[in-house]
Amino acid sequence: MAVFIVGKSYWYTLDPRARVLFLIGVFLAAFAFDDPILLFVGNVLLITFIVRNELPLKKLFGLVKPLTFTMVIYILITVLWINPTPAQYRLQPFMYLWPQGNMFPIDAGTLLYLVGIIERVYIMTISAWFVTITLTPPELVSALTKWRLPPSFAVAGAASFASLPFFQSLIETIKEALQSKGWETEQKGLMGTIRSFVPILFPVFFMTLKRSQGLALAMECRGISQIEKRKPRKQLKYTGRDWVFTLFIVGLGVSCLVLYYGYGIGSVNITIEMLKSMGIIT
Amino acid sequence: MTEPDITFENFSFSYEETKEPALKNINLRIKKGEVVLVTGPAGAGKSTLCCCINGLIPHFYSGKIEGKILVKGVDTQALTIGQLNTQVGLVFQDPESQLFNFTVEDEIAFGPENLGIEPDKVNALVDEMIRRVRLEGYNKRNPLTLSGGEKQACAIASILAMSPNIVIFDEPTSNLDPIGTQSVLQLITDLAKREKKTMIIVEHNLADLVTKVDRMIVMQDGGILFDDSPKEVFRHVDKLKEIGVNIPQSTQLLLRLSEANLVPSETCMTMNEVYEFISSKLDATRFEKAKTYILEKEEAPAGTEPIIVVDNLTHLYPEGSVEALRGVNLKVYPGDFMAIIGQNGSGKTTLVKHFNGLLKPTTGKVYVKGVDTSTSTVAKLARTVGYCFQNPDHQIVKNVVREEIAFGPKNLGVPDDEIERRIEEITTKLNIHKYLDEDPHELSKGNKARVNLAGVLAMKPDVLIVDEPLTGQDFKEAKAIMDLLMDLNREGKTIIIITHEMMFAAEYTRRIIVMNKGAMLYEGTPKQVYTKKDILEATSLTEPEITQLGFKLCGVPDITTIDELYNIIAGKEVTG
Repeated sequence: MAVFIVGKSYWYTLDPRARVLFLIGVFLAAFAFDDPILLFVGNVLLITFIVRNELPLKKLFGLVKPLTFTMVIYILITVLWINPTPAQYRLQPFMYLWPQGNMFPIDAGTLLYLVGIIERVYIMTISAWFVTITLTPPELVSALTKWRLPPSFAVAGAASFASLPFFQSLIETIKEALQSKGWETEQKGLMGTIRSFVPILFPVFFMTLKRSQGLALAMECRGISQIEKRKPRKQLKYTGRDWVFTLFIVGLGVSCLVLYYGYGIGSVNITIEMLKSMGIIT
Repeated sequence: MTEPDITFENFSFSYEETKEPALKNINLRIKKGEVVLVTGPAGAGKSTLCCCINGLIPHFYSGKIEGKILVKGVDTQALTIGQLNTQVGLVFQDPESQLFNFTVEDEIAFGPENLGIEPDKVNALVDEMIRRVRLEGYNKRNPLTLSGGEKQACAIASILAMSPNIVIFDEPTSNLDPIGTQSVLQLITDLAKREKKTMIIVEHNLADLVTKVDRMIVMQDGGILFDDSPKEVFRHVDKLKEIGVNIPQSTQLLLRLSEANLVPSETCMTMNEVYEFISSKLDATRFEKAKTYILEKEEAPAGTEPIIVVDNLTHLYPEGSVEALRGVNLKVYPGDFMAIIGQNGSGKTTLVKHFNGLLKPTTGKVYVKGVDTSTSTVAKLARTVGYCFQNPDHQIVKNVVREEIAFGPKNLGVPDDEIERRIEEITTKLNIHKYLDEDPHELSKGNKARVNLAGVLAMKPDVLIVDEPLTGQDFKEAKAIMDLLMDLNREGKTIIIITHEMMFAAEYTRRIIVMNKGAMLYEGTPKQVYTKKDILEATSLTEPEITQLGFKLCGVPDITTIDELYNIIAGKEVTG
């Protein structure tokens, strides 16, 4: 079952377009910085914002758990396989595609960089999840069509978007169903971890197809093929409140990029130098 | 003569991927304002018929078409689905798959908005629909937080808001609990009376509808077997029973009595009609005997060591503060056949998930064969407790039946030759041997459920839990599944089922657990449970129809099966 959360807080009073822009602003800010301390602050601010807007903390922690698997893979690939320096990272964004051949020794800078990247993934995932479960498909359709995207494209996007929360509960159900057939979900070692996830793929794929078809059918029966004629009941109107929020969030994202690329602020190098000067790392 | 709303002219249809036609040479005319009940066994073509009327066939599902369908005189192939949306509304089985908005208001408004209706009118329509389906006060509620019946009411309102002239309900109650079923059927029959729209209702549950529809169509193997008034169709009740239509229990009893020449042959569709007829034809002394027969109670099996012990179990889900289970105490004995009943959300599934360790107690203990489940893994407990999920699609991981059945035993480390031996034995018993090399997802709903069951049975568990095995199955298939579980139980397997089907629970199980709001409200034999009116009322459950008829005829409250009442009336020996 898709888990949508409805509220009456400040967040829900914003125009759907401002809420989509929130995601873009947060992504820009997260992409800009790689300093683990600043990204940690970013995570704390984001979580505070989410909790202030009526999302229970317990639900948020429920999201963090499934992220752990991705993080384990990420750490292993980065440390054992690539072990890049921050400079390499910036220069070769596709370095994950092939081994770099500099496995050991593991550099302290790389580890710090890694912590920052993990925090970045958390920021991006948490913010995407937050927007996904608080923005309805019709709101998204209205927002995207206001931005002059073709309505059919907007509907397809909204339908995919609406399915994201469904996957979270689907994967949990399928995991439980397979455990009941004696399947071990927690196997040891990297290969074991990967192997333990393989059986889940088939039912997830099948159920996803089924769900997509069900959603498409339901939308067809509700006149989606006439979307060009659609007249939203709630006409979108960008109010002063939306403009303030947009300026703040997009401004935040752009400022972070400018600070990083213009002045080097937000770079892991600052923390590395700081720790070196304190004698914590060499 | 006015033109019919729907006309099928020599219409046949085959889905692209199948050779056998799903619909064969259908000729049908449905007049404006008619309320038509369509029934028949699974695979008869009922849903395909619905999809043809609203244009999903051929515009969404393609295939080979012969003949034509006219809606309001226009060939559906010449119209788009969009154009047909204003003429034909279709409500599906599963309310959750139809709801994708945050609030009830948005859900209902979605269709009219797409039709380009002015926002003011849409707002008025939303208010009107909410009133009509009795969802007042729920305007801002998330549809997914409503009860099953309310969700389906919301789905119905969202279709009615598009003002179609023809409304089709495709098994609207098949995923609902008893209270949801009652409320949706009541809603549909009220709408049929008020709206004067053409309505087609596909439904297995005949007892509540036969007196409220103008016409009844029975489908079989893609064709129309009967098409007449319900009274006329019920004259062929023996044939209906033969093909697997869910005949009301009272009518089944009457059929048996007339076959035994105890009463003359008569067509009765409802319990009251059957009561009036039988009591007018038979001497009251026949029913008096019941008082001497029935009062002996069955007892739950005891004396041996329980295989599962639940000790003061409480469970809180991590995201919620509400107790999903509250202080449950229960013992399951080897060889038991137990049903767990209760409304949606009463804690039935949460309880059984503790038996194989999928959930761990928040407080209290669960022991399986003396092992504390909180100290064991699900994989280890799976050797003792097999659990079939409600939706087999969640549990099927392979694309060949043979590999699927082998998946569980392989996980448990069973040798290959032993796995092969088990596959042969189980597939023969479950009558799915011929599908061993096929893709399980291509099988019918019933066979898919059997493959899943085979996969769990191949692990040779002592206890088999089956979560809602009868949901979405037609009467014949549901009976076949229960017969199968009964056979397994006779072979010594402990069976626990979760079900909403009171009739099957009464006929097959020896013990019933009634759950309500996370607590175990009552535990007893079917007879004990169905005589506890206060318990049934508190959980909005109803006793089987035959129990109600038995009480009216004999004045005793604990007749729970057709066999019992038949034997009383026939003067045969009655066993408890």
